Amino acid sequence: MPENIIEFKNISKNFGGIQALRNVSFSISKGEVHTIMGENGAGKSTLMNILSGIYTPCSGQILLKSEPVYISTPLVAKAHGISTVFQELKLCLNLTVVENIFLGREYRKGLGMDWGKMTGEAEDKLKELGMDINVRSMVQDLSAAQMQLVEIAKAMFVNAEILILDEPTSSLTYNETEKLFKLVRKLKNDGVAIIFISHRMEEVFSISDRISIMRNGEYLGTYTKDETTPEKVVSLISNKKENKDMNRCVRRTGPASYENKAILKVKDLSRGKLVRNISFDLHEGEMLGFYGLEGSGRTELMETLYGLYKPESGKMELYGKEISFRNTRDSINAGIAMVPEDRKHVGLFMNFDIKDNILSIHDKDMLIPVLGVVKGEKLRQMGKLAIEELSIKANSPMQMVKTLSGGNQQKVVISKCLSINPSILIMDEPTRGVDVGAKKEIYDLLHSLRNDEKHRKSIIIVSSELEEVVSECDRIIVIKEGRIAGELRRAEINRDSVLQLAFNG
Amino acid sequence: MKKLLLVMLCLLLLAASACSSAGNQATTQNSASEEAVQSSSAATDTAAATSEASTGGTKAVEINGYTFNVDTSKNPKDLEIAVVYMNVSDIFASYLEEGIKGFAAKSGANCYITGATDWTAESQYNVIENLITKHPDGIAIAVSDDQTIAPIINKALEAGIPTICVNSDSSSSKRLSYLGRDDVEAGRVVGEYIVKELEKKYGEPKGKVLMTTTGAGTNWSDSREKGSKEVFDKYKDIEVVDVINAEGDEQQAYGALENALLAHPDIDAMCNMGGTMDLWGRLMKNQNRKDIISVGHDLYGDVLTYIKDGYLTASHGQRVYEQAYGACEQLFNFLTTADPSSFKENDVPYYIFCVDSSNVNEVLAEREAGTPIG
Amino acid sequence: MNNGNTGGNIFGHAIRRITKIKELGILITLILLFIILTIASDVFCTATNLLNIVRQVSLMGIQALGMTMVIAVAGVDLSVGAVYALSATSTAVMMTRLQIPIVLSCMLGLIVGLVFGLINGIIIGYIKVPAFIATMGTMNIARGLALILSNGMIISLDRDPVADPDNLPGFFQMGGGSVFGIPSLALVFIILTIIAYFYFHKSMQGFRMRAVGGSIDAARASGINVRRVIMLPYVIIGVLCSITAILNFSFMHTVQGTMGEGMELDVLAGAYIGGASPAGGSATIIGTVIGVLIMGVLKNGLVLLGVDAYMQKVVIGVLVIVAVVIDMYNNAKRQ
Repeated sequence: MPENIIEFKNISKNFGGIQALRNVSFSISKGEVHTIMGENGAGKSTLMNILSGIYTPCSGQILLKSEPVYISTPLVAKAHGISTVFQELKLCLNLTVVENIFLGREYRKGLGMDWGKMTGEAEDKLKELGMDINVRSMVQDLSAAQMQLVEIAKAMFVNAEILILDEPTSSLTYNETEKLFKLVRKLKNDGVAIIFISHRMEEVFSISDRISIMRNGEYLGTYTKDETTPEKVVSLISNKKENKDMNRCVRRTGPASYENKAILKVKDLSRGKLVRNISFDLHEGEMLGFYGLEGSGRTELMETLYGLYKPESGKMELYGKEISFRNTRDSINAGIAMVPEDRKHVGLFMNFDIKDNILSIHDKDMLIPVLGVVKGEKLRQMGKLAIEELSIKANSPMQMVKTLSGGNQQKVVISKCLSINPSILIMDEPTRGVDVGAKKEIYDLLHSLRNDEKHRKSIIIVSSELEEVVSECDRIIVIKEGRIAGELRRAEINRDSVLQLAFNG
Repeated sequence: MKKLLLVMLCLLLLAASACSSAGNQATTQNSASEEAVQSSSAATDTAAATSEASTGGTKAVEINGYTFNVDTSKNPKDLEIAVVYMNVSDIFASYLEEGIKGFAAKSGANCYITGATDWTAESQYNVIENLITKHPDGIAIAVSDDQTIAPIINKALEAGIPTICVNSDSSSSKRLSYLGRDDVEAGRVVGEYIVKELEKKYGEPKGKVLMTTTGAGTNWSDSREKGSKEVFDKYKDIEVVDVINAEGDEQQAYGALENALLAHPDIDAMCNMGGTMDLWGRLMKNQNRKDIISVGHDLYGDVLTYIKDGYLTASHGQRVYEQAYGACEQLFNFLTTADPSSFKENDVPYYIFCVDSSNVNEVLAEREAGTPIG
Repeated sequence: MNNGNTGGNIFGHAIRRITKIKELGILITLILLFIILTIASDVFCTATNLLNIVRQVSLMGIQALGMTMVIAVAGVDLSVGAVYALSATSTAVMMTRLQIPIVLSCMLGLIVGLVFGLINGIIIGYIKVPAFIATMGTMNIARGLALILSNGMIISLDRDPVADPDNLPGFFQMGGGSVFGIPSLALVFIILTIIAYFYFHKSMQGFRMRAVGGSIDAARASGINVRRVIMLPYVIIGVLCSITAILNFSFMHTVQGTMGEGMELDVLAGAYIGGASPAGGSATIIGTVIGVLIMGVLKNGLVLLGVDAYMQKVVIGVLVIVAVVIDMYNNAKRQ
């Protein structure tokens, strides 16, 4: 029986009312590759942050080598031999490999530093780990894969006994991933415990010894590779057995919106690594959902549709006419509006009030001709109307948006988009950071928009919240690694079917 | 938070006002209470100057069509004489200030130096304009530019303030007098001196001359350049190889001179238009050269020592102290006697004071004894 | 929800509206300065002196109007003094050396500012060179050209002949004249201020400038052509530099290759004191005008009180830092 190096005992953590972890207990052994899996928000990151000393648990205990420890800061974690390689690499691009490896722990020689010694040691270590990288090169000249290897070398230098790899392969090619895994296997054989966070099923099943599954902050179980299959894993994550659909009957009965005529046709849209040959249709009055795990390319797709970035190839057809957007003004003029993912920096102008935020999307229609002056009164009326229609809790359209709550801010962004009467509304994370009450209001509004007899709007929803997509849409397109993994309609839609496509599609 | 700004500003202004009463008293014995009296009496002075009511000693004097109301019974302590220099952040201003303070100490009048902190004529124009509003008893101005400042000088005269020019003249204005250099003449004098030395060297007037200055484009430098070149142009065998503008701080200026010497290693003479004598002397000393005929203007820094040691040939002081002193004196005399002849004709040669090996030892001795030489 | 009008307390409502004025702080500062100086000096609060002050700040103030817009898009323009000098020098050279008629010379002089403004705008807005570096470059270029053109000499209309001397009096009137006792420079400043106010605060272009300053990403997502919006203020300030240059020439009758040296710092100081935030977005035209007036009043006051000229620089420097620190404090508090 391999000895436990880490044991989690009843770890719980909440962030001001949001329960991120609930009584998590399991253990990890020396010399194994232990993968933790779960959908977005399952608690994996929070658990790892606790292990690396970024957070401390509200209750529960961590045992390292059977001794209880209190990991209060990242430095303490390092001292205990815990090293993390984050997804966003923490290397200094303008320094060399040696400088990065020894950052903060440089060897001194007299008044200066002993680069000779450091370079020698760095070279030896890299060779030992089988890495073929010139220690004198600047980090910014290395490839993403090489940078990751340097990070691991850095960790090994401080004799890490526990190595956490958080989504390490998202920017690697197949070959680079193989190289990484080779190193991982070597480290494993040297006795290092490696915690692997990933949702790439093929890789997980290739490299892991054991897989632990979390859902909603709870620990569900640990299985060895041979004891389970990708489908079973996903079923556990999705909680297939209790297929609780927050069934909003309206969406599952009556004529299906995807049977209306298609107003937007996208064919083979591509841009970079995250948007690859995407083709789909959007129908009139439809609420189309896009779901994908982190890094699957959902936001990038929407940005390309909206005209924030130009596609490298592919075609788009709106109402039967071929279109291409050189910039967002083109798409706005064509009747497409987007509520972006980043509310604070891309959705709103924090230095403006409500009415000015609404104004920002407009053009000549808000101006007095010849003078080019903004129609102040009309704008104020528009602001008042927006506040009423969306029940925004604000005193007047002259209130600064930075004083509003998240939900109300989101409503401002929505009203800005609606003020140009778009035919297509794209919403990226429509209810992120929004309270439950506002959530309902927003969805009621969206559904009324698409059912409006006079002008049926079509809505695309992108969300990482599975519940939301499952309950509001009657058609869902699942994205995996930049491609469409599959499409689900009505009765086919449930947590499990969506997740299966997202993980295994 | 903006209140903080308020408070700081008020404090700053109060501090500034306190500084004004303290800083501009050039008199040596002044208690704090006297300073307070001074600033309030300055206000009453203004009232007295602008009102037409004569109080015993006030006479209306007419000069060149301008009328000045002079109250000869006024206490010298109550007389305010402002000297406006071009750029008060330049070291030259401090030389003038010595003369001003000297006169203030002797007469007991309130004499001070003021002006803009850059060389532009516009800034000086604004300062003088504001000064007119303040209405001191007399103003002496070293103009940044003749034509630009002329109108505001005339305005000062119209406002009844006796105004003269010192050190740098505005001849197109109606100023009551000018004390100081005729820079064109000074340039000629330097030119003639060099020609004489070249004749001594070659038996005839010939040779290569390098011209240097720190103020290309300024009135004084251009005038001196004009004067010197006038002389050189008379001799076909005298060649001006280059005109170097060694501007910027000391380091940069020195570097420019060094480079010039490297580019023209075979010059016979250096004709300075101002500002570089001290640096050039240092350059000659560093390179151990006593063979170049170096003649120019001003006697500050180590110039006298370099002349004595032979690194520099001759330099022409402009008697800065006397300029400032004399300017204040003329105004003071007029204000206490109401006599228009207080404003004298300029004594041009007086301000071109030549020091070379023949008299440098005496001059040095004088300086060591405390006489301001400049 | 709007509880401003309940009870019909007009006075209370007025107070509340006044305290919300962004520029209240510096307005109070200006008023306080005024009061202090009126007490400290008899002659401060006279029509002549006050008009002098407005005239003295007019040229700098006109440029500051443009600078407000530049700062609003999170930019800065260090080349204003140099372009000012170049425009004036070009006009003067055209009039005197090239004997081009006055009106035409002035128009061509205006083009100088337009051209440099375009250069700055394109380099900063389209090629994305940081504003500080770009305008430092154009500053040196313009200054160098001004010095070359003027040959280190002063050009004076009282001395150097022009092609159409009959038009000279009219030319001088432009900058040196006055209408109902108000100096024409001040008049131009006032008129341009009003235009700038409407443009910056009421027009779509001005709004877009403030939007881009607030958040470039949000502006792009809202369909605003960010690059063009960033370019525009530089063009505007370039033209304003030419206008002020020609006005100054008209007033002083002379130009010098070294004129305007250091002007950019005064213009920036005026705008920053007026509350323009270097981070972009929070500039106001009124604030800038007040900032510029504060500087003018200070300079005037320091001379009237007989304070050292050096003190001027210290005071202005302190003012700018204090104003920016307060602005940062304000912003941080609001986050």
